[in-house]
Amino acid sequence: MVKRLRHAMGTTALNMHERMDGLLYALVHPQKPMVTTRVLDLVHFDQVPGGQNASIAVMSYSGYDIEDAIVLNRGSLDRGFGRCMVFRKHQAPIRKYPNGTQDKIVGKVRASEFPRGEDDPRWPRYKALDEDGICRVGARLDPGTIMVNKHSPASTSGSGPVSSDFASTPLSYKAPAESYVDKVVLTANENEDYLIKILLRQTRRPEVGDKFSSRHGQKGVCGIIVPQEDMPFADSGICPDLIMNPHGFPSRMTVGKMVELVAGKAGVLHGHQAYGTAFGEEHGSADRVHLCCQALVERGYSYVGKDMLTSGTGGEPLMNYIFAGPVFYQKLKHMVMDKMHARARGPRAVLTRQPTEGRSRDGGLRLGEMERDCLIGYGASALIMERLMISSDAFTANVCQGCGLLGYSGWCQNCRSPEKMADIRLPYACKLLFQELQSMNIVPRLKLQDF
Amino acid sequence: MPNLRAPQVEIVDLREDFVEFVLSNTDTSVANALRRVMIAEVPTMAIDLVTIHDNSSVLQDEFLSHRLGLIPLAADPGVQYEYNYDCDCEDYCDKCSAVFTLDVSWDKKALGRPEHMQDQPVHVTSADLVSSDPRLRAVHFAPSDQTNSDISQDAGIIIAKLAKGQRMQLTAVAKKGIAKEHAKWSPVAVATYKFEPVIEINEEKEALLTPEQKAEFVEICPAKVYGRDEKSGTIFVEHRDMCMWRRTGRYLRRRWWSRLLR
Ligand SMILES: [Zn+2]
Ligand SMILES: [Zn+2]
Repeated sequence: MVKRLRHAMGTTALNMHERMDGLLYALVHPQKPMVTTRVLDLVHFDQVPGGQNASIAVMSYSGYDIEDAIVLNRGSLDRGFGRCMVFRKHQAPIRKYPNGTQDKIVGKVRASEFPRGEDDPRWPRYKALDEDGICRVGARLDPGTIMVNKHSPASTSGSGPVSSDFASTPLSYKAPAESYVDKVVLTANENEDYLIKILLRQTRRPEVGDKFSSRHGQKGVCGIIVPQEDMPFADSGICPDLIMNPHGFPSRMTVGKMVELVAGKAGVLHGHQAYGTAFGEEHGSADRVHLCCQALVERGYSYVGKDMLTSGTGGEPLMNYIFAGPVFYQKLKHMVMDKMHARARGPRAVLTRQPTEGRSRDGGLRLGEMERDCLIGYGASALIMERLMISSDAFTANVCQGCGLLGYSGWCQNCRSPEKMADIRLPYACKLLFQELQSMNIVPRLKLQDF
Repeated sequence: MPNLRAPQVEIVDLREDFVEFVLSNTDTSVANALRRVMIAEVPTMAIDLVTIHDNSSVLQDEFLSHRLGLIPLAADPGVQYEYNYDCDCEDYCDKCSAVFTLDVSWDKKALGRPEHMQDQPVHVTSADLVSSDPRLRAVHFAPSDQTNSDISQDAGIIIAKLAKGQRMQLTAVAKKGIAKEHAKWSPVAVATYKFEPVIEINEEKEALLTPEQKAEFVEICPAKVYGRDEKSGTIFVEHRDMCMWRRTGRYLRRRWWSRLLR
């Protein structure tokens, strides 16, 4: 639970919006939990909450909820459930160089400076800049927009006459979705360089693939977002914010979640915050399950916490009683927007000429050993060739059929002859291996054969 | 077989913000269709476009816009707006939208307050939204006959709180829409239906009960569905609509009482 709490977003501190954190996640409408505990009281969790009280129904719905996936109510999302803000800091130092030169910020760039004015394709990049060449607070930043219009001197080292040439080295915004400028701070760093810190803000509503968790380690990603009218509803008109699959219970044995639901429901009906601590019953502070059940019956609900729900799509009552009530849910900071990635062509590593790895380097998606084994087993040799060589690091090498060594430009330096040269296609990594072996005094010789 | 083309509606209760009716001589699908349309397809007005001129409150601009969007707006009966996307105008006009302005600053509001309240935060509420169209405004929660008489009953929906020196100035454009697009256009808080229960009391078995047992039977129902005739002591169904037999059935079934009901 401690780990999940760390991944949850909410209120990190009371001064969170005064700070310039590198990365900060904040919930838009955090709530204090319906069921609290002694420990949460001690840390004043009511004042720094980290989640929302979701009305949940434990049932199966549509098949998009298998393997811990959850179903979310679109109406709830519209009203602010799980909505969060992501604050990200960017900074640009204004450096002083050994030859006495210094970076400079060039002030506002106007649309009239471009030949086609506001229609000029180069203009939108400069749109967010203010008079001082730094982006304006409240400005919208689309991908590629310049945040700090910085220029650096062309030569920064040595002595002698200093060149007055400057090259543009702007700090630009790169993320795929737009952000807004929240705050700009001018300060200095330990080297006494000027430092411009910019805090960007993004507001996100939950989408399919975002991760949620209750406080019992029951995490799950959103599998589908369903319109409110399609959600099942009780005859009081209540419909769940979130549907959780019952298969999450038997193996996990999270009895606490069920107790939280029953205690929370009793608390809601009686208008008080329920108390879920397992200790301290003698002092009378903890809510006991049988008292909660009694409270439910008093308000005309079933003592087990189950309700009769009606299908929102068909209009008929569901065949079973559904365990439903409020449970405190946290939004975890693993969001698809930060993880989604795809690439066609893109950057390659210098040494191996293979596609780079990882989302941050716009890398390719690896066809690993297991996937390769599948293709071998299936016999799709042309596909293996395509994935592992043609789409990766195909290279045309010159091979001498006389000595079996690599040549170049139709010439074998070993035989000092152009006569028996042939072109072959092989992965660049393979050619690199041969050369590395050669550098270790091992001679790999290629024997070519016609197919 | 009910005639699906001739359902009957009998209105039980009708208030400004509430309606209850009995739908009969039809199928559940008709009831459900009504419910679904009420939730998602009845057009209403809601704030859709916000231009923030000044916002030094602790709430971010997007946060504020979201809250403004969720404020329910009420138009006078019979007032019709065009859908913005059907309208001939370029951006928005009087036919398809209403413009609300809001300008609240702590300095102005706190000035007129008594001494001990001077440093308290100022509340920005839906009552501060000034509409360009007098026929459309933020809803009042007090019943219509009380709205003017007692202001404290209807302080408006709180949007934000302003501390010393803070100010909030914005214009918001309300447009017509349906809740399929965003729940802020949903006209209802809840729209629901339930099936009227049929309760029959097994008179043969009832006759076997002692008066004490009959009293206990009436007493034990959490919804107080049953009543007892003072003179004869027989059990009758008093509040049929309150019955939650399906909900409380299990609770009752554990006792022998359930045998009394068919
Ligand atoms: Zn050779
Ligand atoms: Zn118009």
